[in-house]
Amino acid sequence: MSYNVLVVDDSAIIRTMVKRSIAMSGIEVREIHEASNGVEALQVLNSQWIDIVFADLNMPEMTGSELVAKMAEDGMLVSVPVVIVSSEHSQARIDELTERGIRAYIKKPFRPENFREVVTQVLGPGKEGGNAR
Amino acid sequence: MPAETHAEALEKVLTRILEDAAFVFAESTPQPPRFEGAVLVARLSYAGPETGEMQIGINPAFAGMLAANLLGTEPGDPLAQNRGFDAVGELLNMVGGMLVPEMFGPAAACRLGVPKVAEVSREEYESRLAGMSCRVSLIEESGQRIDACLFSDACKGMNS
Repeated sequence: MSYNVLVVDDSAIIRTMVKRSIAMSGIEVREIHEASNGVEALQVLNSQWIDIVFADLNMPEMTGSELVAKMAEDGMLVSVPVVIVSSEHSQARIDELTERGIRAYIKKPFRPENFREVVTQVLGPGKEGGNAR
Repeated sequence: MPAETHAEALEKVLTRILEDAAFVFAESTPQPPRFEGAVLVARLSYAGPETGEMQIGINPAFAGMLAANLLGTEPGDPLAQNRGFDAVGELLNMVGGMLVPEMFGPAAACRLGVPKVAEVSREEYESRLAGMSCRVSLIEESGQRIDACLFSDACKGMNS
């Protein structure tokens, strides 16, 4: 049960922190890919098999919300789960994003166990990782 | 929400984020020491029940330590090198995200911008402070000063 993960955040520090938290959480990872905004994320998604996306909300070029919308329009990407990792704590905002199709939400600052809980919730404890396209 | 409550919320959130995310322990002070040299300033706009801008000011060397703490490494680690701007921006991002529901309630809809970080002279920083609506100054254990401020029409004319 190892996964291909995509981490999307315009902050290099946050991308490193997310990768570190995923490593510390015990989740088995096959590959971790990175992107600094939604545009780069789509490039990765269209060239790599990704099992789950962790994405920030407020990014230049393309926000996390816009990324979710773009993925929903794409027949190949619509089924890839997106988890938002954001500093916004507003429940109204979380509810709005849930309606738009995000699978879960992790608030910053986060802990490794947040990622384990979410991966189990979103991908299930018994799902296999995907195959390369 | 009155200015005093904004300042209380700002102090509470900044203190908590510094501890939880960066393992920095700091207390409020009414008499902060002067910044020596340049100041690293991060700014973040917000728009909701009120509209305004949040700002954090710290010294560049401390920003480097902040980056190392966020990454869970030592200040000399190459991973943390040249990450001070990023660290201050992310600190403000986290403060902003937690501050909004503190100020406006969990159900309030409020959008945050993208943090902008710049290094300014002490003189320019001090002149900016004069126009602030609310301000909190913290001192962390090694004596470093950390400022957090709000521009908001709601607390215009009142200082913490």
